[in-house]
Amino acid sequence: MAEVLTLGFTQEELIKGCIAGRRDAQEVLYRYYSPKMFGICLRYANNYHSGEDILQEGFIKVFNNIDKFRGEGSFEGWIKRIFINTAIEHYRKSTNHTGHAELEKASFKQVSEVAVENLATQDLLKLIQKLSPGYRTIFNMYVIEGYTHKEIAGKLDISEGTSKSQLARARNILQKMVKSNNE
Amino acid sequence: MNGKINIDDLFKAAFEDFEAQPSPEMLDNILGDAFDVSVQSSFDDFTLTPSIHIWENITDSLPTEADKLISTSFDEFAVTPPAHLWNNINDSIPAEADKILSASFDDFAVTPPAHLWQNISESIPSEVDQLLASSFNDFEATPPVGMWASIQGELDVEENFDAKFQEAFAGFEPKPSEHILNNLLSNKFDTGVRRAFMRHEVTPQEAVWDRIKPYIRFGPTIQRHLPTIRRMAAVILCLFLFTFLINQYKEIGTDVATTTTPPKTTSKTNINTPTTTIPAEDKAEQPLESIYEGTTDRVVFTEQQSVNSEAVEERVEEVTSQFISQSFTKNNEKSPFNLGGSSSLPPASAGNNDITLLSPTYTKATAPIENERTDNISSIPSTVSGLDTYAPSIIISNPNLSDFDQLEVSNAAQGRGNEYIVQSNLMDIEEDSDLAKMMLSYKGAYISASYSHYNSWILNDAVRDGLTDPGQELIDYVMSLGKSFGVGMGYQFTPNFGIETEFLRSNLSQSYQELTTSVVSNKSFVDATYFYVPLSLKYQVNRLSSMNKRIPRTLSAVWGMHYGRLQSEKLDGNRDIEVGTEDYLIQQELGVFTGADYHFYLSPNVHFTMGLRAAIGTDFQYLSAPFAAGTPYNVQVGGRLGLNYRFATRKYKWSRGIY
Repeated sequence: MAEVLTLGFTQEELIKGCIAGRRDAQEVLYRYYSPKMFGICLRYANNYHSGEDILQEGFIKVFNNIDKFRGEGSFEGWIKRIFINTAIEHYRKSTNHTGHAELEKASFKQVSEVAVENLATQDLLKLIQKLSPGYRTIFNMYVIEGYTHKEIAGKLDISEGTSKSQLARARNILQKMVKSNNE
Repeated sequence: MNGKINIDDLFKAAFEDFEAQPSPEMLDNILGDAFDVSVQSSFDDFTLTPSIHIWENITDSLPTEADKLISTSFDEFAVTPPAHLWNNINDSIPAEADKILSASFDDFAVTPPAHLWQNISESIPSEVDQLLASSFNDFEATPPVGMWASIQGELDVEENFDAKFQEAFAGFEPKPSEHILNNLLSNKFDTGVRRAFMRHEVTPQEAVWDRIKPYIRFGPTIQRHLPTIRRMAAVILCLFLFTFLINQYKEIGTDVATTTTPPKTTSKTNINTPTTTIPAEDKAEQPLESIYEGTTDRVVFTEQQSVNSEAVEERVEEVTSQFISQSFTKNNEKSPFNLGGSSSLPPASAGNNDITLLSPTYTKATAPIENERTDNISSIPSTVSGLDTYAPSIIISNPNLSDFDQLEVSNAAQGRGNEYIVQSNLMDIEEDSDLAKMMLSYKGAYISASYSHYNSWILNDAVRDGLTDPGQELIDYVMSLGKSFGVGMGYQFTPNFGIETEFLRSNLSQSYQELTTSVVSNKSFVDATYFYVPLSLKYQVNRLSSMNKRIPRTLSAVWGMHYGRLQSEKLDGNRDIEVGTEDYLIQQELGVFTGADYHFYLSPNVHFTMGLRAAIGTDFQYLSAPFAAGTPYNVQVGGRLGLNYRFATRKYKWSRGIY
């Protein structure tokens, strides 16, 4: 029996309803998945408003391409991939102005500004958001999303070595921030 | 240890250095008789004040209240010596003593005071507490979606609950569980981060959804059914197209066969016709080409040629002298002519072979100048086979018709002479396919009655606003059924084309569903009654059934416009629509419609139709911009049943060019 998500809709009904352009199905799908996806968006964004932008862009893509979901694999996974790709797109757009050199230039300058006493998920999120876009993207993709360095290199158009080194630095910076915030 | 201080000893010690000397009188008294008395009296007034340091010593040595309390608190104090102490003791004392000592401690037990345990038990966490506390380390509970809305709905808005609620959480800072922190600071950093974000959810602001909505494809219910409607329309269109192409193919095939056949005129006649062009009119006025297919075994097709009158007369004379005498001398048993007085054709008497009986009028009217087709020439029926050299252009053979009738009809079919009205007893020939052909060739008036059942959609401003404006209630359409019935009339100008109008009373129903975030949603429906007058142009394709040539088949398509006027409206079946909101319904409607019907013939004058109709209309006031946003529409898509009656029970006008 299909799992009823909310308002009596099963996932299949939601998908069909969205393909047909039903407003109620679209809203139910948005309300069901938006908290999870917004969490992802915030991890890749440097602030709340950027996260909202990614969320908005991602959901527009989801609704306009939902007919391309072929039912292979998890629907939530499909949506998640769209949001991660949208976030990467955002990162690419931001680096168009600064170039890839930004990856190398990222520094730990903001650590001293961190003034959180205890680390909850929200606090950790704040710390991640304080990382530079390059570090943040690579760290999220590798550590949380589980991409390999090869995949990251492909998606971000960088070398595998760069991905590894940036990850190490990001991890190091984040650990230092965590420690400094708990001292 | 005994905590009590011996006050007597202390007192003695205080008087340790004290020495007192008696006075001489006192000594005398002591040593005399009055010693006792004097001693006693000498001490009557004796007072001695001790030195200050004595009292200080005493007070310093005296136990304080606190000391007493401490002392009493240790009254029952007992400490169990550690195990190794006994071992040490045990090792150092003789064996026998060990035994005795050991035995003496066999029953040794010290019970701590009751209050001590209570104090301890109250201050330390229990095992259950620990379990309970640890079980909530990672506990996170997201309230259900509708909970906040429910809470907010039940609260008094005036209390400004939101502000209070936010204020209450102003200083709130969630703390991570210990293991998350440990993981973060240990070498399990990645795992810690991943775990921290495993169930991380953040509800975005409501405005985000409002910003998304304009960018995503939105299809109202009517649009959701468009694919089905399109498919139905495509099927109908394909049917029409297929039929049209088949007809065109047959027509082209006939033309090609005709033009490729060498004309026999030159071989049969010596007439030099000045002009031998084939008039286009003849082709155009043969609307039932398909009928020919079923009659090729009896009909000889010819192409009529236009000639000038002088050439005709010359030719007629020649033909008359050359062929007719031969023809009728060959077939002198029965005359093909049996004309009435009213006919323009000359009367002929049976058995009269004299050519002089043929009037000039007849010869002029019937003289064929033709290119005779050779196909199926052998199938010319015996009843007119005698006219093989003077055969009419199209020869109809019907055993129920007289030879003359057949000839007359044939001439009429060629367009020669006037249009003839044939009186025939249909009952006698109803088994013949000619009846079917006659049914299909009908021209004239008819009346009809119809019933329709359809999906009706009342698309109005309120719903449209509700669907697009986030400030309005969110309402969606629910599929509803409507019906209509009425009478109509029509006229067939040709077997293919006609016009039709109807007077319909239509009931349009529309249900709406209010979309809310709760499971329960409100539903309502509107019933509107309209009076419609559609006017349509009809094109129909007539054929005999390929399986049975006696069965006529007609497929027609209609296109037209309709006028509608709102008669009444009800909400939820019994309530009048509120004043002001009736504007949401179209008051005077102008629209277009299309459809298709399949005709089932029950008799020559009665047939019923079964078909589809689709109509859309809007209010007069929106006609200036019928596709602008906010325009209301009435849409109907459904089936239609019709019953038609033709005013020609026993008279059929024979269409020129059909037979």
